[in-house]
Amino acid sequence: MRIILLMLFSYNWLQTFFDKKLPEPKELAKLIVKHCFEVESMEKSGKDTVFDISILSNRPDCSSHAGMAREIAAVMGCRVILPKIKNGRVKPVLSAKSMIDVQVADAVACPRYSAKMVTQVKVGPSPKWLQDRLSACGLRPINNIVDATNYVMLEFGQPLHAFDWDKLAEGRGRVKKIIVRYATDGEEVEVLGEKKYGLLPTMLLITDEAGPLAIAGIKGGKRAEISEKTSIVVLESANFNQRSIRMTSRSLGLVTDASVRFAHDLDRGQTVEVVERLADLVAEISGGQVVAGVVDRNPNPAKPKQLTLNMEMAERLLGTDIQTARAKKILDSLGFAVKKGKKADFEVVVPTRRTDVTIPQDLVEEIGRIDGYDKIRAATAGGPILPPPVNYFWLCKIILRDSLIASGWSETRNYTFVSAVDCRNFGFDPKDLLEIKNPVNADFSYMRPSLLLNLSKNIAKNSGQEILKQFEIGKIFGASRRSEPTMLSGICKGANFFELKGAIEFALGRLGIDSCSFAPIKDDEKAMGGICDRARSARVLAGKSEIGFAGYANEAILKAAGLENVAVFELSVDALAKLATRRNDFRQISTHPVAIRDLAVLVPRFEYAQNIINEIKKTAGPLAVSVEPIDIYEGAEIAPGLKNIALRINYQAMDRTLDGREIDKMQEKAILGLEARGWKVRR
Amino acid sequence: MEKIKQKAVGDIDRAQDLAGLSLVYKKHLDKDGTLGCFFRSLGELPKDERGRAGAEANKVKTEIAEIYEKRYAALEAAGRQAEGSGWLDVTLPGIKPMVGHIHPLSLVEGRVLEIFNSMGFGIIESQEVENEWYNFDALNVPKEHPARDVFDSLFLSDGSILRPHTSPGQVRYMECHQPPLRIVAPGRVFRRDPVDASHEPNFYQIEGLMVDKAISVANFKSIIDEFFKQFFCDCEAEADPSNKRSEVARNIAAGENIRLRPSYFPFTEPSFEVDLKCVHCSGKGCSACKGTGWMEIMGAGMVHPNVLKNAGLNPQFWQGFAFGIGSDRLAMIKYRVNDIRLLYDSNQRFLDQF
Repeated sequence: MRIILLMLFSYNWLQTFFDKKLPEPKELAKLIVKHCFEVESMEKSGKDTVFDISILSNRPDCSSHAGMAREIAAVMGCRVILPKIKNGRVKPVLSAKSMIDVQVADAVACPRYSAKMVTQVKVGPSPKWLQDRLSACGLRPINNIVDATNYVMLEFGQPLHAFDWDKLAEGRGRVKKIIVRYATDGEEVEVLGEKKYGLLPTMLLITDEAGPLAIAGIKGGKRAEISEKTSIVVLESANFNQRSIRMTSRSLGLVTDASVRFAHDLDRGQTVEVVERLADLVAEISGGQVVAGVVDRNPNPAKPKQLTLNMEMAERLLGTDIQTARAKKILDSLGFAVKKGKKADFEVVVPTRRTDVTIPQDLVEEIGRIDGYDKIRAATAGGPILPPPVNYFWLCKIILRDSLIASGWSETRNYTFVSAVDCRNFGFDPKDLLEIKNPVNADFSYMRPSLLLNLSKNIAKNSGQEILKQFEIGKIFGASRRSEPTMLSGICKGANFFELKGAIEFALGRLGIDSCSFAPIKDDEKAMGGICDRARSARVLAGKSEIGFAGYANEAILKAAGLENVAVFELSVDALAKLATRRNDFRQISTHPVAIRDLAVLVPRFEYAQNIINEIKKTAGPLAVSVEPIDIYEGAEIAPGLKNIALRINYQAMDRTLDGREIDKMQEKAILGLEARGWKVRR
Repeated sequence: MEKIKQKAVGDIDRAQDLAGLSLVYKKHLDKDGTLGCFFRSLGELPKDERGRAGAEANKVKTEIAEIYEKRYAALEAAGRQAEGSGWLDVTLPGIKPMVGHIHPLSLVEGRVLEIFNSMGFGIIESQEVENEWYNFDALNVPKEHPARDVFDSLFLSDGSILRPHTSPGQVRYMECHQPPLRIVAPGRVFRRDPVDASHEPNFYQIEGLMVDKAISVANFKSIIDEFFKQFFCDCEAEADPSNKRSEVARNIAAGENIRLRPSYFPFTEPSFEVDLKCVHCSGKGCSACKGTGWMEIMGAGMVHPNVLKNAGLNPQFWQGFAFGIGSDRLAMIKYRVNDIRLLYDSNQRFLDQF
């Protein structure tokens, strides 16, 4: 749940804070965007214009028309006129203290609680001008008392509440008690709108001696609700800890205009002034009498912060000259008290409503934005620009990518997330994987243990393609969050294993790894958690270190995914990056001719060609510069269980042309070597 | 002489094929042809006229020979064409090389890093699974602070966090490097956003960081402006001037392309939202920029002193800027991709276009 300060502002209302005419709405919106906040939208509403403004989360002081007016005044360099507190029609006989007492159980959760009273109110509809303003700002008029609390909240940003004093539990004498305390486990409160909430002991309540009156800072309760019969009202203007409000609001799933404001760092210095203003308004529109005095529980009064602003620091940070007088004027207009300090210093007193300003840099921001960031001229940074060190790991990824592209493979980017079913299909036990506590949906519950899980889905997605070769370079996750191996994986359809092998060999060659080999997987080894079919797959080695695997995917996995005959590979980029030499030493080219000799050898069907090649290279000696299979045949003329492999041997020397006899001798040695292994050579 | 020439040229022109032309050769250019006879008749002229007439005859001979060669070549080509060889239908499709395609996000990352590299920024990468300290605390985001909501992070069962931004990498880097620092850190980030046309639960950012003794907002403006110029201009400015995109490129090259608006990030002070002049309408206002003429493109600001402190640097001595650009957003703007889901869908027909 995102708790965002989005608020509707009435242009006409904002105008009331100024004695001079504001710019046209469109121009005003531009100024607000440039210097203060983002104006999400702007709409005509009768004779008024309503702005939907997204207040930055550190500026709850601007979730009010007075706050926004202060910003506009600073930008325009003019004065704000706030409504005067009259404290008028005070009923002298009574005092708030003689009617109400407030007890706060936890001054951290509720740092301040101010209450004021108005008697002899007549509840009814509020005047049209007030209803219009509330409606313009998206609030539904209810009755004059509730409307007044909402109005003053929109005016000063302080959430307010009104209780019917007569409905509060009787106390000693005329004094009734308001108690701010935590809920008992399972305690219930019925809120306005007939809904009941069960509460937890971490949630703060406003209660009287009989039980809950409201969920503190979030929503008022049914019991002491204002009704047509109400004649005495208790007006609450309090401050609650933002964490406590957030937690309660979140766990109840209850977001209100009050909770959104309290969930930000609201000023606790303003509660009394605001409740006095509210009392004035209530009296004015309900014909009531303001009771003298405010009951104010404020054990740790908010103290205005003092900051020293060094103008040289400010200029260095913004990278521009700042007129001292201009800076002072900006800070003054925002309500900061500015005095000249030592040398280039200003001593600045921060008003308590500016909970966001804690360090001198915050003041630099105020100067920068109100003056306009467009005034800062772009300037190149001094000092020499040195070529940055090469990031070899990144480079290695680029080389791998480019090589695969050249081999006809396309790069993809797939989700990091997989489902439990995907994991099981690929032979991974979800218990061994990193699980996401709050996944976007169930298919995105685990961190991928292999890139192949999601890559394999691309085949079905691209069913129209006859040939598909896709790869991805990305991180995979095991059970431990400490390692995040980077892998290079590919999947192909319509291409055989040897194309895939060729692509890998080519890519590794580009990294300067020339000792790449593909080794069969032994009977007792599982081919990469069972992704691959052991008999048709290989371990990929660079020198002696294993860097991955390649081969045909296991039938069971393919079946689960509705696929067939898919070849895959997965290589460790971390391992490759360590082995990459980027060396590509030139080899001398012989100017002497190559002599070509072919031979054919009958071997058991499951003999690996590499074993035959190795045997020939070993026995024929170094002048056999290449040995390559040119044909493999098994069938009618060959005994069952055997296959015939034809090989081409190239003989070449660096320093001379080989003569026929010399070549024959080497060829004979090769043949004898093969025969010694028990294979029949057909010359 | 002139008569011989006229006759010879006329015969050459009239020849319809190579056989006809060889008869013309025999008739005029051969030893026994008209020219040959003429040369032989020169011997009968008086000595003083012989030289002049000879030179003139040679000149005419060369001229006729040239005309003959041209005609020969033309008839030969016509002959080949008639047979059907020596002719190619160049409009048939080319044979596509079997190469693969680079993902557009890689293209964008590659270009962005290349530009920053050229301005002295090194590339670093950081981990995707983060802990609370690097992800929030070190970045000056206190617990239960409203700013934590903005990120809407995904949490792992062991309490760690999938980084919702690339900024944790800043702190990790500053912890083990002394200024001056210039880095860009590309990487995948995660948020609890349901998938729609403009949101994906995983996407990419490129973090930038520059710290030195006096790196200022003015420096930030200069670097970022240069970056956008290069990123969106590329070779387009050189292209066809009637092309709409090159107009955009020219506008961008011309000046004021970015503006800074006030913003709030706990890890920077001051903080800005950086807007780029709309690359579709050059600031006139269109549907892509909701009529404002500007596109919100990145968050940035001057590194908060607490972040420097948390990374072990003394904020009295060092200052600088940090920014985070969405690679997906850059790709979508650059290639006019209107739906972010295309970037993660692995549709080969989409990939084939890059």
